[in-house]
Amino acid sequence: MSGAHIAHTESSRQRIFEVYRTWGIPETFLHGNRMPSSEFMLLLMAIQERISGMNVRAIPSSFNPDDPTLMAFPHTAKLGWNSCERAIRKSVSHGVLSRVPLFWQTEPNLFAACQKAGALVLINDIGNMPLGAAAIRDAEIDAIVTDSNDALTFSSYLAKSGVPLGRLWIIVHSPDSTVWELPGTLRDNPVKVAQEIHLFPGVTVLEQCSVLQNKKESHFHVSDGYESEHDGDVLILSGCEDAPLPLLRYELPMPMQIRKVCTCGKTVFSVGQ
Amino acid sequence: MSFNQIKELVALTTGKEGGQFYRRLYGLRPDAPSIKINSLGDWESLPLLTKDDLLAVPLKDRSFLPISKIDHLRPSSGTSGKGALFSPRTYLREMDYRLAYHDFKRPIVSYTVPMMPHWHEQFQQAHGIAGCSISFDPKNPAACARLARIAGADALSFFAFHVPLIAPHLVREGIAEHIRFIEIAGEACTRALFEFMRQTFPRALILPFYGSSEVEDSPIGMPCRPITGDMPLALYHGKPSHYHEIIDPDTLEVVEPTQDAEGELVITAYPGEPASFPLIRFRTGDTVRVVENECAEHGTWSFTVLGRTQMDFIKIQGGVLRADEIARVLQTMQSDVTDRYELHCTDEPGHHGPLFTPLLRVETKRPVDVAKIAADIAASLRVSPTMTYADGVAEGRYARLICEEFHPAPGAKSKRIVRQ
Repeated sequence: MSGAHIAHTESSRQRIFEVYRTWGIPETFLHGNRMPSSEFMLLLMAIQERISGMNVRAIPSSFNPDDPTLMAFPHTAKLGWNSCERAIRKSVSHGVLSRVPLFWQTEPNLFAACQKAGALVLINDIGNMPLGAAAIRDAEIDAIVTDSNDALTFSSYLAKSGVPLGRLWIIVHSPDSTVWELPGTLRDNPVKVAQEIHLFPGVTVLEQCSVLQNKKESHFHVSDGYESEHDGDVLILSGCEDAPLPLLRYELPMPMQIRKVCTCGKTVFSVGQ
Repeated sequence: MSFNQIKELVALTTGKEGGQFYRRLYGLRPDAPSIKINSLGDWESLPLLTKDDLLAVPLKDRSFLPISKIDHLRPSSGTSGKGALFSPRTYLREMDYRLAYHDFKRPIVSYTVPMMPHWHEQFQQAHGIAGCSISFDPKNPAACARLARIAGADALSFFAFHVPLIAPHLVREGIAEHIRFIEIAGEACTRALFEFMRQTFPRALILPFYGSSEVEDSPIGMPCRPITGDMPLALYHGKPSHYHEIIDPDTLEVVEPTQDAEGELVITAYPGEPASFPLIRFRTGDTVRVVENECAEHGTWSFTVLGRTQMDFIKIQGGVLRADEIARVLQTMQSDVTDRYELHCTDEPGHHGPLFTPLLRVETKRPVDVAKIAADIAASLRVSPTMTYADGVAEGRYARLICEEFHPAPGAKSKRIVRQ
C-alpha cells in the first residue's frame, strides 16, 4: 500500500469490531483487509432485520429510489448536519430551500442544522421550480440545498427567470454522480457554493472548507470523524465515531486523487483519476 | 378563546411596538393607540382578514417575529393567478390529544403536511420516546414503504390523497396490517377513501386533521372522534387557543353557531408566544356545518367541513386543479365551448384504491364530440408546472376526464368546482 496518510489505529479497529458484533455481523466481514462497496452491501443486508430494534435513523442505501435492492442504512439518531450548519452560519443565510428528494430522509437533520444556524426552512418539490423561485424572491430564502443535477436545472431556471441566486448553494454529490463541474451560472457568480459527497443520502464523507468552497472545484476534505487511507486512486474510510454502523476500511466507490495539503491544514482530494 | 383573551390579542397586535400588520390593515395612524375592544359589536366590526391581505404584505413585514426566529415556511398554492403565499411557522402546540389515540412509540411515516417529519420527532421526544420518522416522498412511495418496513413504522400522517399512493407498496412490503394509526389532512375524507383504508389497514385508527397553511396554530379544529363510518365522517370542535365564528359568505354577517347552521368558518388563532403570526378574523374559505350545539365530550359546538366556500381550486395527487386554469384552457377552444363550466369531483373505486374522478360540464356553442373535447382539455390542463391532467391519467393518478354538455340559465351563478 502506498500513501497511507492518516494512521488507521488498532484501537479504533477493535472498537468497530465491537460495534459490528452488537449488530450480529458475521465474523467473515471482520477479517478482510479492505471492504469494497459490494461487500458492504452484503453486510448491510445481514443487519436489515435488526434495524427496527435499534435507536437509529433508517436512511436509503441508494440515491436511486427505484433500486430494487434498496435497503436501509442505520444512521445516527442524533440530529444535525454539521457541514451544512457551518456553511449556513458562514454565509449568514436567513432561509434555506431544500430541494433534495424527501425519500433521502434528510429533513429532520436539515431542520436541526438550520435551527442551530438561525435560518428557517422551506421544503420545495424539485418539480415545482416556480415556487422555489417565488420563495427566493418573496420569502427571505437565500440558501439552496440540492443535488448536482438539480443545481444545474434550478440555477439555469433562476437565471432565465431573472431571480437572484441567493447567498449559498449546498450541493450534494453521490459517489456515482456523473456531474462534478459546477454549472456556469454558479461558477461565474459571486454566490458561495459548498459541495459535499455523501456515501448515502445524509451521510457526509467528504466536504469543503471555505478555501475549497471559494475555488469552486471538485476538491474535498475527508469529513471529521473518519480515518482515511489512500492507495492509488482509492480512498479508504473508517469510522465515524458516533456512527451506529461505522465504516471499516471501506473503499469509496469512486476514484479520488490526493492533491496536497490545504491552507486549512487538511489533505485535499480531487474527484477523478 | 374567551372574550377577554381576544380583547387582549387585539390590543397586543395593534400596539405601536412589534408587528405592524394589523395597524396597517385596520388603517391606524402612526400615533394612534392600540385598538380596545369593549363589546362583541366592536369585535364584529373589525375587518375580516383574507388570504389576499396576507399576500399583499412581504413576509418580513408580515411576521411578528424576526426571520431568524421562524422555524419554517409553509407554502400555499396561489389561486386565481396570484402568487404563492409563504406562511411563517414556529411550532405546534396543544397536540397532546393525539396521545389518546396512539402511543407513537414506533416510527411514523410523515409527509410535510399536516406536520413536518421533524415535528413528529420532537413530539415523540417531548413524551419520552426516541424520536423517529420516515419522511414520505409522494414521488417515491415504494422506497418510503421499504424504509417504513425496515424501521418498523406503525403510523402514517399525510394528505388523504396520499393514502392510495402508498397503500399498495405497504401491502407489498407486508406491513399494512401493522399500521395502527392514520392521520389524514387535506380535502375531506370521502366514504370511498374511508372504506378503502378500513379494508387495507384493518387495525388502523383513522384520525382526521383539519389544518390550513395560513393558520400557524394548527389544527383549526380538534377531532371530536376518529373516523368510524358514522356520519359525518370527520367531526371537530374548537381549540382553547382559537375563537371560531361562522359568517354568511355573501353578506359577511355573523351566523349564530347553532345546530345545522352553515357558513364560512372564520378563525382567530393565537398559540401564545412565540407566535410568528397571530390570526385575527381570518376567512378560511371553508364552508362548515354545525353538528351539535355542545359536543358531549368537549363542551363547545362541533362542526364538519363541507368544502371550499368559493372553490377555485382543488388539491389532487401531484398538483392542484385550478378554476382559472380550466377557464384558460376552455378559452383556447372558443369555436366549440365558452369558458362557463362546472367541475364535479368525486372519488371512485379504482384498481389501487379511490381514484380522483372529475366530470366537467361545459357550455357548448354548437354540437360537439364531447369525448374529443375532454381529451383535448386534459392534454392542455396543467395541474403542476410539469404535469398536465392527461399526464396524471397516464400515470394512473386520476380517472379519465369526462365532459358533458351544460346549458346554465343566463346570469345564473354557478359553483365552478364542486367536491362531492
